[in-house]
Amino acid sequence: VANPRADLAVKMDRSRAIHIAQDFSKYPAGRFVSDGPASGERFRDEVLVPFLNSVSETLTVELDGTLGYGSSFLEEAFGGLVRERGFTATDLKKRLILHSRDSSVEAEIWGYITRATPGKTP
Amino acid sequence: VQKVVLRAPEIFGLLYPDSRTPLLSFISQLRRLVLVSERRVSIDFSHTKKLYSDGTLLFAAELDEILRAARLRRRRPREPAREYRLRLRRPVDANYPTDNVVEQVLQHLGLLERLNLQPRGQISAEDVKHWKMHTDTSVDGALAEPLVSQYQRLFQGKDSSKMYDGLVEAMTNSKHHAYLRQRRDTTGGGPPEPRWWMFAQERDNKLSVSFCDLGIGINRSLMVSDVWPREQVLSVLARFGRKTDSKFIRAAMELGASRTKEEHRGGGLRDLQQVIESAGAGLSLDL
Repeated sequence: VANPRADLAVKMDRSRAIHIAQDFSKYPAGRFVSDGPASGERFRDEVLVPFLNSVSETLTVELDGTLGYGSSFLEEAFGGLVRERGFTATDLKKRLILHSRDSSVEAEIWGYITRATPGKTP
Repeated sequence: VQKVVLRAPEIFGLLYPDSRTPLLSFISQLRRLVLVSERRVSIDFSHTKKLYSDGTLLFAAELDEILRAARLRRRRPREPAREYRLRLRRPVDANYPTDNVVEQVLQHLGLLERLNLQPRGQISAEDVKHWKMHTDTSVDGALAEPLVSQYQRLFQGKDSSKMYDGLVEAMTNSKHHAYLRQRRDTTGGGPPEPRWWMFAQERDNKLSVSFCDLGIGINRSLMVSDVWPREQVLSVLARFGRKTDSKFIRAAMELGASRTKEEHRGGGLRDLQQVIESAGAGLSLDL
């Protein structure tokens, strides 16, 4: 797992793109920080939210390059933006660009964002 | 105090009752002797002839848990200090199997050392070399990488990310759902450790993957989980008839697809199903 806090502070100043495999981990897995080293919660809070807060316009998330994604990781990382961190699905649809060779991953993420209910904690 | 000699079954396999019943009975006796009667046990592998991946994985997992729990045992009143030390350090040992391939498997998986036996031979059997076992309490995708590489080699052109997704969700499921309560046959050892065991065997261009936890079982975890309301679980189960473990797994998959109470939870089994679907006819799932 990369050290997102240190590495990304510099990158956030000049980039509007996150490459998960490079900026976070090749092995994203698990839902909560207590699950393991590269969880969805950790990715959301240490990478995704700071990036979203630092750019005023669009943010591209490059999903290729990892070994894969479990549904728990994706739901907590992206659905959790709405459920836990106050973003709205409407705002995210305007600002978030997902990029993957596997279009089913993009569709899965948008499904989690759309279905998430604000304030409903696990 | 003399050690109790416990004879290991001829076959370590779970698929058929002829081998499953003796293996489960053997494991249960081992647990009770070490953790309830607090005896030292010596396993006799002289009659063991065949180790299948499912039975071997369960034995390895139960042995890990028994050894962990045994280390937490207190000294009995008037128990000699030497006996207590032995009971803590070497609660279970064994003799070397008479079957050479069985010995190679136990050696290759590190089970000989766990049973205080020194590895003494080369691993020469071709199919034994490709047995791999991992265990951890964390959801760590890096641990799935060797298996994903095996999958890529065997299923060229298939999407290996689905295998990765299935494995890490199995780890996550184990962590979130398997250890919600103490198992019913618990014999102490403190709070349950959310550990999982993964086993892979490549043989004749076929990859078998087994995943194991020692939690409360799918049926209890469905009933006590906060993911779905109990009435909804019972309503889905009522449609499946006799309540075998496989029916509970099917119910969990159906509930995962419907998603009601905790809308963001319970989708992990779908990832496991997609592993099978992505490989098409080359793969099967035994429930």
